[in-house]
Amino acid sequence: MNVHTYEKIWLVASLFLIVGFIATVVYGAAGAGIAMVDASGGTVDSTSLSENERFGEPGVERVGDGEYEVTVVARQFMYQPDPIRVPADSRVTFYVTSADVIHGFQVVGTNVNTMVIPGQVAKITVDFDEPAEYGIICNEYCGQGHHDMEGKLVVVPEDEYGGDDA
Amino acid sequence: MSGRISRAGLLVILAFLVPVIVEFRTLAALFGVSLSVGQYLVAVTGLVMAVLLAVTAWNLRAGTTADDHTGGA
Amino acid sequence: MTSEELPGEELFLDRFPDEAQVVRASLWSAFVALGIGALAGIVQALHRVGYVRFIDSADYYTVLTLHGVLLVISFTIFFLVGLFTWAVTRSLDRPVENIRFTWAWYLTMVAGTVLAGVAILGGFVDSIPISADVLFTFYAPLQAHPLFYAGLAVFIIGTWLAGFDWFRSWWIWRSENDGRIPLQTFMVLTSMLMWYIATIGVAISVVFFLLPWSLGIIDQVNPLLTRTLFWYFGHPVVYFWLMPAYLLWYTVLPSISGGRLFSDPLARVVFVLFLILSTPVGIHHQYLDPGIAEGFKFIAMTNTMFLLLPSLLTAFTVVASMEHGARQRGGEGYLSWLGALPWRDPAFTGMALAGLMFAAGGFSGMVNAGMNINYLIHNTLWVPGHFHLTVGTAVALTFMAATYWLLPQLTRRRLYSRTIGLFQVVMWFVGMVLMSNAMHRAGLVGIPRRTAEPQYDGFAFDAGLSSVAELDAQVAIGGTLLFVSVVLFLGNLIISLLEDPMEGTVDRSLPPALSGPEDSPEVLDNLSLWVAIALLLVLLAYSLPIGAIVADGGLFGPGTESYPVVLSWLEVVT
Repeated sequence: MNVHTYEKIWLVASLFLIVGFIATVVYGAAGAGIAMVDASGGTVDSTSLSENERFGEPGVERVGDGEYEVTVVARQFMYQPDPIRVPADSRVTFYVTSADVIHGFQVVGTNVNTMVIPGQVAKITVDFDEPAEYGIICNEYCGQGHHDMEGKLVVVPEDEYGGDDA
Repeated sequence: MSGRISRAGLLVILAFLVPVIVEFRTLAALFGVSLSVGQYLVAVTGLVMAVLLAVTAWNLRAGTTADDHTGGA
Repeated sequence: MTSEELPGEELFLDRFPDEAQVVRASLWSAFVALGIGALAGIVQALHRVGYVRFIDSADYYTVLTLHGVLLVISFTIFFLVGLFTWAVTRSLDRPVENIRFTWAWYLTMVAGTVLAGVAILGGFVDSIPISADVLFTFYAPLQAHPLFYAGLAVFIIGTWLAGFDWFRSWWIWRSENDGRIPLQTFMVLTSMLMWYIATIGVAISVVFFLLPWSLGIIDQVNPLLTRTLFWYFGHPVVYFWLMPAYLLWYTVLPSISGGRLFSDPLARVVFVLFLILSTPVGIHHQYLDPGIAEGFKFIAMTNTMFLLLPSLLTAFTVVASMEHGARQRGGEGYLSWLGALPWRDPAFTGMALAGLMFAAGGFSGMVNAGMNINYLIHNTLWVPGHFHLTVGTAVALTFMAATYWLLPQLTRRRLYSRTIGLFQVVMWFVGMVLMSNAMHRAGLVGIPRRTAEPQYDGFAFDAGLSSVAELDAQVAIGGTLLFVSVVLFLGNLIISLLEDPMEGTVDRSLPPALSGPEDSPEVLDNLSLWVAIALLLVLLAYSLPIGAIVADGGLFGPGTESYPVVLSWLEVVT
């Protein structure tokens, strides 16, 4: 097959670019430690969330030194709990599921972002270093009131953080 | 290259300028220059004028030297 | 004369009058969808930014569904079937085998569109219990009226029959001719093979799950499963939109530029790569889905990155062919040959600008494909910013530009005004630069897509150097320019048709490539081999994830109540 020299050079350069992109993703996962939302959250019966051990009482729970678990239920058109309060300098694992349709869970201005699918539990772990206030929005169309679906995440200074309850 | 730039060519050149104009403040910020809105407007107006002048100058020059493309647009 | 050439002195509609009629009908169906879709588009653009809100925000999602379905299903695919019919007929230089069959698939597609369209429009009228406010992706448990799913199924069956029509022409041509598959036919056949593989996913989803569920035969579906089946189809469909644009860039643009295609073999390689790689990548739309293991996402990511290759090769070939054309026209120098290109021709300028925007869209696509940076932009306005460059410009603008070129050979009419045509394509470019740029930037600061009112009570978006107001203004101005551009396009076409037929003819012959098919290995034309490889890759990429989804949740669960229903979710709250 007759391929022009310039085209060969371009082909090789393209392949380098592609391998380079894959390398950046590998670095992001292995070096920078960015894990993907995956199947580790397990499944849940969305029709009986109120009887579920974890999702029966959505809220914040301290599970270790500087480590917290936040259980969130997304439903038309709100998040529970709201607001979510966690202390600064903490490692927070979110467990998010939906009581009805597919929603999104995005902490605006950060890369905390996941789909919320009924029957599935999205599990994401995030470090919050500094006190701040963030908006939480649903970024997947979920019905006629979709645009009203928002929540708040407050990262309070460590010494002001009262207790487990939000 | 001695051809004149036609009006169609000028239209395309100006279209290509649009992204630069739209993100001129971002572009300037990359070089550490922060522009106010007023300064931005002056700068992009100047940019467009400069391009128009350059095209006019090019066409005048091409018009005096070219012997095969005198038709223009 | 090779089969790639059609005598320039004979118009397509004189040589193939029946086929020309089908092509015209398909294109007009596409343009009707374009007009309505564009109207929905400007309503959305102005509503989102809050400038003009004459519809209720709840109806925004009906408008958005209409915009999505009409533009990316009806407009793109009706144009595709028209163009492919033209391409197969002219490159094989033979009429279709049975014109009634050809009309049958066209009418099937029209029927499907009307069914789905009625279901969507029903969403505007509260007194009619028909709606399909489910957007283009129809994620369960959001539920549409059965008409919507049925319409979709009928439409897809129409496209399958169309593909059969083109395959049949080729089978008969092959029994009477020796040699390679003519390039345009090769492109059509590989695109359709990709389409047959891709539509399996949506067909299973609609026929076995969504349609029975909307009819009440089954109670619930597995939302992650139907979503995964949608994206199994949802990524290759974007290449299905793109393939006719590629066909035009490879076989028509070089000729408009005044030259010849650089390489026929590389064009074949590119289409084979699309056939192989388009489908086993759909999970990259689901990077942030719970319930799918990271390893499966990684496989989809690497496949996606390799899918960049055919597009990067295309960038080379298209630019090289344009440069060849420019030099034939007397262009010289390293870059000054650009000035020798026919910028006054809207067909050329439209396609060239579309290709340029596709490069920009390709770069934002690379960000989307980057599994971990995707967290930052997933479901933000960045994503529609991206695909308004790809399907919204690379495809749509190429189609409009090509229409200017096809018009005389399909209708015996000259374009009413080339100047308006030129303004129209440049206006599309400028409008899209503004709108898409603002959408990308808005996405970076977290402004979501698919939202009637991206203004929230509890917080404000921080747009950094710029401001949200400035981004809104760009979206509104850009959207308005795009709408005006569509109006100019349609107006120019309609006036052209009202004019008297022209005398004589126009030269629409397509010269063969500089490096012809004889330079490429025969194996490229072995379609069965490529289909086998494509299916193997699909199996590798999808069997385990789908197996795991079904094992975890069951075929029909763990679902919830469908929506819209009478606020049944309240029961869960209390």
